[in-house]
Amino acid sequence: MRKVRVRTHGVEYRTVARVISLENLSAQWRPELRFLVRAADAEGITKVAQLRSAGLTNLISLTSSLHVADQWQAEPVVETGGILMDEDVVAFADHMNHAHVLYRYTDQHHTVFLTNRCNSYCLMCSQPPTKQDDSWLVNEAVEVANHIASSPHTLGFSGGEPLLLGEHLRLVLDTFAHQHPSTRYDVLSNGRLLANPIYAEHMLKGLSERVTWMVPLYGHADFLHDFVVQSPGAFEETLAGLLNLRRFGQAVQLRIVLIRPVLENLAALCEFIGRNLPFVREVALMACEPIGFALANPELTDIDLREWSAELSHGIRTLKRAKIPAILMNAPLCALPQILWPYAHKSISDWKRTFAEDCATCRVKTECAGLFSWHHPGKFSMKIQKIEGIINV
Amino acid sequence: MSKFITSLSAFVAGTSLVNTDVQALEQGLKNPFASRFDPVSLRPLNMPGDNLYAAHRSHSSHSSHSSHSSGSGSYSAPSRTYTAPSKTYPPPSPAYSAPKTPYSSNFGASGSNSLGGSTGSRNPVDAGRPSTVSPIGSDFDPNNKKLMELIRRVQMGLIIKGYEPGTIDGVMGEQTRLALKLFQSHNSLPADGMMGTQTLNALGVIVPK
Amino acid sequence: MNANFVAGSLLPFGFHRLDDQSVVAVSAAGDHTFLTQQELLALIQTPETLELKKRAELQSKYFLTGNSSIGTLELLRSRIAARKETVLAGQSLHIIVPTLQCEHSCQYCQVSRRLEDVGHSMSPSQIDASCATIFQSQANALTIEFQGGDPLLRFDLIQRAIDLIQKMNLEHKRRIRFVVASTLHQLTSGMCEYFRSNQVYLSTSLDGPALLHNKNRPIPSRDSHARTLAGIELARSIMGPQAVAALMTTTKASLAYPEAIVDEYVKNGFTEIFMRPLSLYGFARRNIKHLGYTLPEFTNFYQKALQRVLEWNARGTELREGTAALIFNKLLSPFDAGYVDLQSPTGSGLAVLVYNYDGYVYPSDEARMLAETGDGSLRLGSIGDSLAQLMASPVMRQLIETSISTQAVGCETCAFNSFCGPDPVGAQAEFGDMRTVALLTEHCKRHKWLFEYFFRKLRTADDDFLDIAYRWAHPAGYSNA
Repeated sequence: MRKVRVRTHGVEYRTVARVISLENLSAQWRPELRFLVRAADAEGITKVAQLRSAGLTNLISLTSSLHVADQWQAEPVVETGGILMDEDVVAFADHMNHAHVLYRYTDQHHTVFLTNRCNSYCLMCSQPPTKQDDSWLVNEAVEVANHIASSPHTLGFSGGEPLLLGEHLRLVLDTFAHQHPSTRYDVLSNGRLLANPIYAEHMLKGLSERVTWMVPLYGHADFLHDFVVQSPGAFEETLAGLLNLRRFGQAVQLRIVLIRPVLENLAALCEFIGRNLPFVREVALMACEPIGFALANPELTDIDLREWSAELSHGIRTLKRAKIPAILMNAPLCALPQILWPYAHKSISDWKRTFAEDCATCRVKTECAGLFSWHHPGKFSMKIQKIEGIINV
Repeated sequence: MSKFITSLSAFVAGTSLVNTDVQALEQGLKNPFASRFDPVSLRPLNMPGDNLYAAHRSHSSHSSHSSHSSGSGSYSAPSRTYTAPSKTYPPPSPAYSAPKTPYSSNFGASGSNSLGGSTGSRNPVDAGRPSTVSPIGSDFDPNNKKLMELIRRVQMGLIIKGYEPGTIDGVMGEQTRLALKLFQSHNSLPADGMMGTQTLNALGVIVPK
Repeated sequence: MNANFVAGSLLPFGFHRLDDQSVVAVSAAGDHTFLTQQELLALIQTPETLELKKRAELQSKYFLTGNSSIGTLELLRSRIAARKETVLAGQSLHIIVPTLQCEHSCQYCQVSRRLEDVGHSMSPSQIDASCATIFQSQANALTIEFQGGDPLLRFDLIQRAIDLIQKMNLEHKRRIRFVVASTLHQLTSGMCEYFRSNQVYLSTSLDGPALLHNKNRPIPSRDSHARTLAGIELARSIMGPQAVAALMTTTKASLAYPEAIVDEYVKNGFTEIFMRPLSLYGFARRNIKHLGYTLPEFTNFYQKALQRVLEWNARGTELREGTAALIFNKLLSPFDAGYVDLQSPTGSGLAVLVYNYDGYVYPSDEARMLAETGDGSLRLGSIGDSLAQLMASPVMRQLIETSISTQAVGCETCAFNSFCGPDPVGAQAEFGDMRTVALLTEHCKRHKWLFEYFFRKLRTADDDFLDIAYRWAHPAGYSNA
């Protein structure tokens, strides 16, 4: 999540608000939202204070000047030297020293984080689960839905395992679908709880047709998948969940993270998908993010993708035979054989993407997914090699 | 000490001992639901399929199983009711009125239909409602909704331009009318207190759609 | 990587021996695996000793279950249901035979009557009654195929049927496609324009080069080949390049020309060829000594033709061979392509109905041809009977009872019974009794040969061949584009 350093006062509890300029306020103001109003100077803050006293109590001043802010102890003020853009949806509070940018229209990828809890324990989890009750995140997600001014093309929901939220997940999905009917939604979920047909019906019946479920599958037999997610029984539940998704007409993207035990069986897994899950919209093959649990299990996760070209090519060829579209994510082009470049997507989020020193003179840098910003040379990192010579991409 | 079982064969060896809960779930599913559903079609969505010999003497059926409806009659589906959120959105303070979220889905709550989702929101660790920054209760008269919205915008515009229309309430009261006339006269507009196009343009106000 | 663990259960499967050291095993889902003798024994007796990789494969293909099975068993039900769609989702192929008239006098043809023989046609009211029955089918997509004789000789009846069906479909809203099977000798541009605006495809016979085709399909002017090609060209020019499909019938005379026959299809711009053996019905059966050949003679011919097809593909010319495609569909695809001759229970009557010029409804094209030789025992009823009446006929009951591959004697243990089913209509034609043990039938021998042949091909296949096999395995028109 993008963070911007801020200092606030008068904001006792974590608050979600939309950034706005004074000029646009009258057109966008709604009583049920909160607004972070740009106030360039003392005069601006005065105007916001006047609007508040005239009844617009849902306004907070946003200033770039600490000095100006200090004069207004009675008014809620957010001060930042960082960059906040108009229509950003941000969360902030006095006890935080930064604001979370929950939504920025100009980002390529939009994600709403729903829970940190999970019922799996994947060997390479990039977001290790915690057990605390974090159900306030649901409320915040609804707030984000309400505060987004310009609907994104696509928005993802991630966790943790969102299905653990039960009816609250459905509330979030319905709220977003209602407020932003043109947006496509991706839900990152292991699908396990959808094995229960009653749960599945409640979650899926009548759900917006613009939702895609992104479900990981790591093996073609229970013990292979269950090993990767470290959860006996997960494979069967995910299969039953996938069938229920199909039963209710939901779009599915299968996600395969390319760690050693998965790559060793990739072609067989792809054949299984072609035979048994031909209804999926596509299969995403994803390089492992060097973060989280992946760092704890280097013998299984720290691989050089270039050494697995044959397995990757075979897997993708197998999917192609079954007419199932495949995409490659999170992998820089130099880690892939050129024959697979057409499948590669620039999938790493703007705020996570970086390039290595070597990439500066690479010929295909502009076409490349790049590296995760937590990439660091050496162990645990993506193994890369800049592309030289004449290349037709 | 690792929390992971990082060898596949060790994992496989241990698996059969720890999946009793899975078997319990399986038992639960076998009775009474599993056999009541038609098999799920495996066809891609919106992809009815076609036959191999388009012009020959053989034919396929073009999957037509209506898997959605099957099974809905086999048990009593709890109806989803759309009510104002209560559990999820407790009004934290009198000044705060619950956001008008469009729907709240009411999942089956009785007996075996109850779902193991979140048990509802306890007070978040570091979140909550601002006491000094409060959304305002919505009190539009639906008949005049658009007009009130326009007046509200004019009132905001007046304050931003440095005038004093009084409370921003969407009502064209005396104080708002006076402020508007004053604004008009300062801007070489006929001081009629009406919200004409020129006046709105000068105020930077957009007419609500 | 072996480990001790509690194995799941063995699921039912069949196997077919390829040689003394290996078998191909096929599961209830129709997934296959090649096993050595040792692996076969281990699978049955001590699955826990299988190498984990092999065990994973066997689980993923429904030979073994894992520790739990809530998803797997549900998936298996869906897989089996997908294979049975053709016979369980309602009759989707409706063949109307408006007339038996034909200008040809083919030696192997069972049924046709001379042009001047005007008595062998449907009445307009019989056309109307047939259309009413068609819409009683539950199938979402319907193919209406016109056969003969040469149905173009009664274009008026075709037009009547199509117009009526189009009108009725405004209410019924099914996906409908029409096919007219014809020599195309009588095709006119006016007909083509009508066909183009009504989603009609043409199907014709092309037996090979002119000499062979004209020998097989004699007409007084001895130019059947040229006139069919002219019809194809006319149809393509008005209805588009994919307007016409062609299929060939293998006669004794064809056996010497496998390559030339394939080349003839390429030369004439076809992307599909269907190498069909002669069926033993009707007139063909009577002329068996003169026209017939043994299964090995056919398979020898077929292998050479298929080799030629593969050569064309290797050279970049796309050409699909229909028999291989339907077998690959059975072996490699989860979706049944709807080939009615390989269904269990039989596609006859369950997937197909024939509305014949003689006023009766038959369960398949072969059944009505059998009637021309004097055996009318397979009639389901008369045109005008409701679909429910037709399905309640004793003939229909017996067709189903005798054609369930997991129950029929000899079939129940066959490794290929997921892909196949007895052909009671064929048994009736061959032995005069549809209850004949399927193992004895031509249908069984030929398809067993085909399944084994293609399994052997798959076992040693390289990637390029597999690419073709999977491409052909998909039901035509099925794509994720």
